[in-house]
Amino acid sequence: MKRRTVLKGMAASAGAALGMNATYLRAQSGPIRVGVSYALTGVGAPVGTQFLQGTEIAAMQVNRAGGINGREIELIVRDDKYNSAESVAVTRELAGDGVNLIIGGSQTVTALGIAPLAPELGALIVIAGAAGMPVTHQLFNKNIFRTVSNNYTQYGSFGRSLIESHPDVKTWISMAPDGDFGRDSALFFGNAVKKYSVEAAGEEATVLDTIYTQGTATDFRTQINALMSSDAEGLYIGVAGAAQISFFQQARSVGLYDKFKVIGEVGNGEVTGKAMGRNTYPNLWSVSYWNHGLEPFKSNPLSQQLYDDYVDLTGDPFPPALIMAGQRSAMGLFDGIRKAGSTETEEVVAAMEGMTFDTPAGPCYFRPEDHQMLCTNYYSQMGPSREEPYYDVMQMAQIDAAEMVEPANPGKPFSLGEIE
Amino acid sequence: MMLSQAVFVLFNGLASGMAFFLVAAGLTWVFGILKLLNLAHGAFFMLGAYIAYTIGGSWPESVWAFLGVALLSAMAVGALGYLTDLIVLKRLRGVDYHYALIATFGLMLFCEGVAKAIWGTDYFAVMPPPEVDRAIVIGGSYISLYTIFVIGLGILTFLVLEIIMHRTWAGKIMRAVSNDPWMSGTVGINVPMVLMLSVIASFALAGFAGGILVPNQALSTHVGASFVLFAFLAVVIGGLGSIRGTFIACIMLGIVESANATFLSQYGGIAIYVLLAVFLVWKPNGLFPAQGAT
Repeated sequence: MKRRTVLKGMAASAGAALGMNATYLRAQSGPIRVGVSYALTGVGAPVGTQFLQGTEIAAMQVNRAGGINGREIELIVRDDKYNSAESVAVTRELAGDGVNLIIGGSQTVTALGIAPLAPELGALIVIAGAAGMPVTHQLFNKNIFRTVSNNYTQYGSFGRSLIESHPDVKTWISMAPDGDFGRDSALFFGNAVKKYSVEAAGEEATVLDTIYTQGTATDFRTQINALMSSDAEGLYIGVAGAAQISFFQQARSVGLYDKFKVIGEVGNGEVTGKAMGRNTYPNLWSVSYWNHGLEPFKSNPLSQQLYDDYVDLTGDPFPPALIMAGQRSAMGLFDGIRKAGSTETEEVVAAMEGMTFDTPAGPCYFRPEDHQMLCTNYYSQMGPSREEPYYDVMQMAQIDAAEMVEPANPGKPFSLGEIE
Repeated sequence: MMLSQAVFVLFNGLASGMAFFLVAAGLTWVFGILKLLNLAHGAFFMLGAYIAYTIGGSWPESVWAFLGVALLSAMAVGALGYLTDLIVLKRLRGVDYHYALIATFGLMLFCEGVAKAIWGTDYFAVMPPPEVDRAIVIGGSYISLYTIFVIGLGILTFLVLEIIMHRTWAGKIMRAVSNDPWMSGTVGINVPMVLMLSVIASFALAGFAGGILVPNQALSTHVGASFVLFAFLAVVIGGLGSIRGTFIACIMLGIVESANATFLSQYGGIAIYVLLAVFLVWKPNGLFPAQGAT
């Protein structure tokens, strides 16, 4: 080998090393850039914007405490428009911009798009709000972590909670959107009602055939007529967002409030309460996350801090529960970075596997096999109120996710037969 | 059971049809006179609903207060129609219709952005006025009095528009301008004024529909989407610009949609598209085609 060639090679190596070192130093000394991709427009916007507020509060709390290892969190926010293709596009754009830590998937429709992308992009993606089973089953990969209970745990626990609190309700029915999520949630709810009614009421409750509708339907007169004509006294509503509010508007006028002793809804929570106000169904139970004024949140300092920060940020004294879900998702990631002492994907993934972290709703744990987060699941009882905001959350029920979770089965489709 | 279901389907279909017609009336009106397919019609319907909510709140005190708020909403959206005509639509007369489609699409996005800036992304709910906020049971079916109220208003709106269009001088002038604006101008009709008034009337109808139909579903920036889809279908089936055709098409669409939801609920909305396909083949110019349509 010629001497000149050796010198050139050394010079090139030194240059490359210096350049890489400069990049490395920049990456280790600047703010920690975290991508956020939620539905901020479109029909999923009310959910996505609440998730975003929670995530922003989490970043604010970390930065106020001096950041992570002295580095501040910088959120780079994108709008997935409640659209799977758009969620893929913005996630690719974030990764292309050098962002390897991403929080997204405020709903299943967008999570199903971005979850498979994570290994290809070399990114860690926290799936914040998608309960669809495939995320931690057939779509599972090591780079995704889900920070919400899956459908089976969430709606099975919900059915169990409602039959245990209403053992006198012998006949139940569901109205759900005609899709994977709607069918699953109604099925898991109904199965749990039947299973736990034996213990709670001494006999198995009757669960009538589910009435299906479209998830974005605006006219529910046909379904309402079928519900009114049924023998059911307990109802589970699987439609969310504006559709659920339209349902209540139309149902109230024909006397559905008087027919049913209890109604459980998929998770609109305060969104429905705020819209319906004094006309909120008086015994409405919701899949919920948080209520700062009720136990066990009332005595949790993290919960009170979240409430104070939300009020400071927005001026609104009535925070929606989803704020906590957005904050918790971000805190899971931030604690993972802190534990890893690094922002490299592989190291943060390793740190988060099996990690337990504190949240305003108590400690949460990432199951190492499928990265499913296990926490306590909460269900709130709402009703109308004479005072602003004209609805009230009266009490919270809770069921530990560990009691209702399916065995980890990453990479394979979820099968109900294996459990029940 | 079948008979009671049939009664429910017919009644429910009529209620849906009249709701569609309240929205479609302004759309077909402005198309009939200006030959303008206003893609922003749903956005102005949405603004009408928001304005009614802002003026009247969530709990109307009476039917009369509710109607009064809907009329105020119609006036406000009519005024927006005047501004829109002045700034946008007037400039599009005489140019290729593609420009109008693009412009009204842009207008729709603009209106949604404005609504979001003013009212945010929260959902709101408005209840029917107390007199019609209950149900009656007919043949085992639960019928809301509010839907009967909407049916009545739909029929009344149709009759008023029919009388204006076919029994008054104003209607004759509008039809003349629609058929031949140049000739109308030569006989002394103030054509620009007639066109502007037609736009205002169309927008006012959208605002009125927004005020009347807001108790039917959650109020958000997407509130117009479903109604407007059916309104467009009704205008196509009825014959572009024909109020009578649109009225009949709305009833047909309502009944087919209701039957679909009752008997074929697992195939949501499919019957509507079958109906549309049949009409596009059988009567491509609609039930009451405009003169000269080919």
